[in-house]
Amino acid sequence: MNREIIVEKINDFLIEELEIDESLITPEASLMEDLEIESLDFVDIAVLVEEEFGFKFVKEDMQEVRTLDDMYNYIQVNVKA
Amino acid sequence: MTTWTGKSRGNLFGYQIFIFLLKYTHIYFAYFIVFFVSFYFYFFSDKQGIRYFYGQILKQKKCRREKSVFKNFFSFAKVLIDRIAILSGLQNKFSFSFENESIIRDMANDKRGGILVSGHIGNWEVAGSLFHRIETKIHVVMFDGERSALRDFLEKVKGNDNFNVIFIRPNDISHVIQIDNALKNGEIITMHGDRFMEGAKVLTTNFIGQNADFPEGPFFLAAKYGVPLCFVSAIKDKKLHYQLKAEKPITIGPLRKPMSHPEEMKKLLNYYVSNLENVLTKNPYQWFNYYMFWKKQ
Repeated sequence: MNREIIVEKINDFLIEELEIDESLITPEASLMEDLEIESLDFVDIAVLVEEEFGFKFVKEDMQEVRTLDDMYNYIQVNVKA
Repeated sequence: MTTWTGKSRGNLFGYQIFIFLLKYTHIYFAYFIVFFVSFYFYFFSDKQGIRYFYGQILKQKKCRREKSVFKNFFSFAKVLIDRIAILSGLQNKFSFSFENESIIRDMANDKRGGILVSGHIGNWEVAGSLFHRIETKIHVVMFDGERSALRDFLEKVKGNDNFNVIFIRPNDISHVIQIDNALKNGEIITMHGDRFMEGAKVLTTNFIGQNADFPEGPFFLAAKYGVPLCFVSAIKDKKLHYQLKAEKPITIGPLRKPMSHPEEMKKLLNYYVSNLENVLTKNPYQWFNYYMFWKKQ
């Protein structure tokens, strides 16, 4: 899947569902500190990833996902074409 | 309001001493020793939260309140001894009765997943030794900072394929992924509903006459996945006997955005709080939340 599509889907979700200010959404933004995504919000992100990208998060991998860019990369690597 | 720091009391050396005593003496001797240890904690530990409970919530006068604080510390010490005893393989020294165990069995058999929610009252952790009787995978959600005999015990039994510990760590969301996978696989998770880390999202409600905060997590998850939420408790009711009980569960959802349904969330919270109130008012010396739980008035 094209990275631009991944970025668009994730960003749209953050803006529309988690109501995050669009100006805060940058690749370097830390998920928990800058975007203030709380742990329970990741339940929704996990659902989105499974539905839109066709795979499940693996807990060990998630320890490395700190920024939005990490998230895009993680999805890009794991997404089913 | 002071929130829980994320660390539980106790150290490994202390536990090792009691494991030695339990192996080579009678458990009542360990109770005798901790009677004096309780005095130490009574005189030297922070008692603000527990004094507030007996004085302001249960309206006890000063003299009775202080007696209750000591009785509480002694009860907690005995509960810790019991946990260590079970950790050491001495569970046959105890007797257990489990009221409504069939509710949990039914949850397991339905394979829809479910949440067992307890509190820092009594000794629900002793149920860990009975989990093998429920033939499903059970995940225990706990804070990583809880350095306790319980954690050692859980680490020890981790080898059991039907038993898994999910640790909550700061700035790490892997526990959410594990909970998500567990519930989607129709497995059961067990967690406390009366303690949270500073900064966590909370729901506020009246709890025995005054407002208190409860973590959003257990109620959010139950509503999000539409799985049964079942209140469970384990009360030490005789010297070496535990009365475990599961209440009739409540199911709401699945809701796409649980927090957009405050009335439904309120139902889940009320279910938990009314059950916790019921157990706590009957067993006021087994309340082991020592931080300032209520919002001061």
